[in-house]
Amino acid sequence: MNKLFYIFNDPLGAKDAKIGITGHPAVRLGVYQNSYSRNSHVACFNVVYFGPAKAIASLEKAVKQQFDWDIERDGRGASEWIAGQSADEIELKIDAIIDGYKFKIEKVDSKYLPLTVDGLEDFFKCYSLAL
Amino acid sequence: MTTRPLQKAWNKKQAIKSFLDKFKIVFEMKDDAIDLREMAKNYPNEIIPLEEIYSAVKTVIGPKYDIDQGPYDPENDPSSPKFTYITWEQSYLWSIFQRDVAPNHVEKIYRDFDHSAVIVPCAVKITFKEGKLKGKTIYCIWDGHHTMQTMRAKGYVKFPVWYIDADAIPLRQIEEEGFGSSDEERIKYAAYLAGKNSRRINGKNKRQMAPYDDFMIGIDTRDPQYTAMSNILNKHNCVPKRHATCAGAFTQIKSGIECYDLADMYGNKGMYWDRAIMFHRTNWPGAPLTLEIFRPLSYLYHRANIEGFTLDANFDKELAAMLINKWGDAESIQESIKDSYWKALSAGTVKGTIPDHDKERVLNGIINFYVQSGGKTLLPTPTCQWKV
Repeated sequence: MNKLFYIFNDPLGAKDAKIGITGHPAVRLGVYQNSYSRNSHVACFNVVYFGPAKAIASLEKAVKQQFDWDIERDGRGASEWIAGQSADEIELKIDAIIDGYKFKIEKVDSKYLPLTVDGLEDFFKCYSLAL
Repeated sequence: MTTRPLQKAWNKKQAIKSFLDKFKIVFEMKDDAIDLREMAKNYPNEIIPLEEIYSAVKTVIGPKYDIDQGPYDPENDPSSPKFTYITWEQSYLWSIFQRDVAPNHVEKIYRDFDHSAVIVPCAVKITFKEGKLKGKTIYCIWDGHHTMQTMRAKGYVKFPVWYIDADAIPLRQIEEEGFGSSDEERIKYAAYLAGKNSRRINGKNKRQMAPYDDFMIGIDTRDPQYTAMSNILNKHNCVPKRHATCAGAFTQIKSGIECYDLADMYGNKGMYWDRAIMFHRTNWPGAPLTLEIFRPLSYLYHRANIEGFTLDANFDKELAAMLINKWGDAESIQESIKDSYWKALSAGTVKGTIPDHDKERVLNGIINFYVQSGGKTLLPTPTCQWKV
């Protein structure tokens, strides 16, 4: 089974970004959308990787270790926010982690990004993904 | 309408982060270990005042426990332990609150005995006030009995003890615990106290030394084997760690020792483990060391050498390319090999001797996978076969 690893920028403008993993992107994006109106911001993932669930879980662990002190708080709702870095900056470091571990994980092409609920169908089709 | 200011909830990570702000060299602070080796680098001569460690401990525990109490002066509390030297004739044991004696444990301590490394045994002191033993003072050992026996064997004429003076404990305190004032009752109370403490010390609150701590102390005190292992780790830019939190972190100490101990026909150790680590670091430079990669490979190189197979550098490259192409990272490789074994076992398609340990499962899995993928080098025969 495949899963996604995603990064998105703080929609309210702080230079922080959130990382996470999901096997159900539509549900996850819906949860984020619950917090604000689509007229203010459409919930999205700015950077997305996908791969086998095991590898994605290991990537998440490795990323949390690498960004340990940039994740300023622990506990629910806080432990996945990386402070002071944008999704683009984090992306470069994650690419290096993937290379160092040789994770069998692919990065989603920029034409599908930012990934929103509206773009999920095309994304699934293109990558022949069954999440 | 006025808004009540939000009260900030205590957050462990924030508390630790702010505590660490005052240090030049940041160190790990987890519930199960504060990295004192790294912390020490912030202090002159790398010696840390205990108060500083206390502050670190309090930071990690947080406000859920009020651990600042006192002041309490044990020197003037009759029920707190005191130190003295006693004679062998004063030394006794109540079997109700001490374990049986293990002669082989006495022998073990004897063989490794050093006068500078004696832990002070614990005892309860009682003076009989009535009966045949009236006026006699004895010390009943409740912890360190094996050490006492070993000191006896080493010819000690005085024995250090850390003792609770049951004679000095106020009668009121004894009665509050449900005991009476007669000799028999005081002895029962002392036995109760010693038994309670023995269980506290030897069971509930005992923190075994972790293999990591043992390994680090071994390196710092120049144990030859640990030093050799440390040299191998340094060569490959690996670092012993309690948790696998960085590239090249080596956490599986006991298994590392097992792999290091694999020797060639002349008794030389370490070469197979060295090569297995090099294999790991070359192919997954960003990852911590994965046990079920370096261990089966150490065994593979060892078996090949003993059985007369030549595994050259090209073999390592070919095997690595096959493994990475199929599964990618080291954890996925070992987990997928084990998964394939368990699936084959439940399907009844495993042939040969059923392995009873992961190291054999992954070793056989790697050999099977290499052969099934068209590997060019001849390998030792797997002890069990399945489609990986």
